[in-house]
Amino acid sequence: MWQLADQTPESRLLIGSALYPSPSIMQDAIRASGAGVVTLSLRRQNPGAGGGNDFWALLRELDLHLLPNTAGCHSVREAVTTAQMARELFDTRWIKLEVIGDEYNLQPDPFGLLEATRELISQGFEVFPYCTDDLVLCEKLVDAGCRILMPWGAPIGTGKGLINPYALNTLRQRLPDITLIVDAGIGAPSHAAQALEMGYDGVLLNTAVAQASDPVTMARAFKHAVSAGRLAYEAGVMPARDMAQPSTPVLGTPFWKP
Amino acid sequence: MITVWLNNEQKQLQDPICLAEALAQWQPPGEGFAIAINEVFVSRSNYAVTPLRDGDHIELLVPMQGG
Repeated sequence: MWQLADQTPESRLLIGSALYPSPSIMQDAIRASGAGVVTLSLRRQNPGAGGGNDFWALLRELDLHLLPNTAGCHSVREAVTTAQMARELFDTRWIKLEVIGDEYNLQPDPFGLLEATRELISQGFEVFPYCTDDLVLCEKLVDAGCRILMPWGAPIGTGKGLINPYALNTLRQRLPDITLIVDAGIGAPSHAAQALEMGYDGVLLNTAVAQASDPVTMARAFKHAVSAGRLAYEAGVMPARDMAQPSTPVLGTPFWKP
Repeated sequence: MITVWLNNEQKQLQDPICLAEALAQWQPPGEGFAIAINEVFVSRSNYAVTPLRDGDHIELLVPMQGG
């Protein structure tokens, strides 16, 4: 159990609901991941087209805590309005806040993100900002009232893992009381384990599971990786050093001559 | 008559008309949607007291997969 805003999920894995080969595989993979929190979105759909509510029914069967996002929003106004719509539709004040600033790498717009965060917190939202790993931005988000930050590991959907461990480590060291979740860029279970070993409180991922050849088995792999990473952090990972040091006792070394 | 845009699709409506009356014509699925008009959120409790005007852009959003 750990504290995530007002919830205490068992798993430190948060998982997305997009890009699965089929709705049933989505359900099975999310169950296999052990995640207690699932992300979802809102999209246009004209009456009569069907579809959206089928997905919604499937997701509700999983009985998980919902974290709606503002994916695709490029302005503060779009993001704030989408968050308000999500709050009513999903009956949650949680919002994964995305304000995209660049189309090529889907990098968050730090200025718009901060402005939207301030507005939504003033309206009573629990904001989970999807942000870069910039320390100053993260400090300002905390000043704005965020209890949780979600810096990227790498751009969304790239699977490159933690491309700037120095910056992520710095965030962990400088913001010890903030819940930190690596969101986006994780491609392999080892990346998730690395984030947890660094002391990150959780990871949020989607594509790495949904686009695996076998999403259900990959979900299970991530479940174990997240647990292993957290256990390693709690156990205390040994510090790296440059010089070799024998693990076998030197005392009584055969053929040794002074 | 007035012309409004529902998710970028042109719709003709009688005038005057409120959002609740327009939704009764369009029949969106159950309560699994949320509405914004001209990028401003409209809560469900205000549908019956929100008049639609010529040129309004209505966003009708439903739950969708997301990461």
